[in-house]
Amino acid sequence: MKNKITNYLIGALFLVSLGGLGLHFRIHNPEKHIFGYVPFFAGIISVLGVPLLFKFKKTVHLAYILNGFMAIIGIITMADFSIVKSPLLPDIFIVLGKFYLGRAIFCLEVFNLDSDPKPTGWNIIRYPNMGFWYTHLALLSAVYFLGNYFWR
Amino acid sequence: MNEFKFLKPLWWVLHIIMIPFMFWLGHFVGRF
Repeated sequence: MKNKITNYLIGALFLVSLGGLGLHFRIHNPEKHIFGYVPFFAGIISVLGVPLLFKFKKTVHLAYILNGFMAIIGIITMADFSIVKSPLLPDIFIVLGKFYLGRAIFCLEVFNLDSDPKPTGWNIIRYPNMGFWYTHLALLSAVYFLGNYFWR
Repeated sequence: MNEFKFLKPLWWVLHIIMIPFMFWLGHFVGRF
């Protein structure tokens, strides 16, 4: 059953990523705007690369990291677009859903199903715990903001 | 986490790539 659940989750991740790629293609067509290539290539990696990497036990960590960082970059850039142009909250929710799908596949593959790990101290913000992602979201947002604000 | 070992040697490489990339992305998106 565990394998079946993993496969369903990988399928869901593929479909959510495909939906994201489709949405991006319509909103930022690479032929119309040069920056459309950023979500286009990120989308291609999300659709073809990440689900495939999640499929193999050896590359689960790589998939988890790629999936997490692409979700973080998506959240930061869409939050920026939301502030500057028009609100993109539904799209941010889609990318958050994609992140949690990746997290679910990772937990299924890496942790014992009956375990309930409770990290303490510095481990809270260390890989692969959720604190790692919150810290990286905050720090990468700060770096993004510096580039956005000071390098015009 | 033992499984993370394979990525440890890449720690510096990843940070050296990602920090300037995010800085550049902020600049790049800010132009539009």
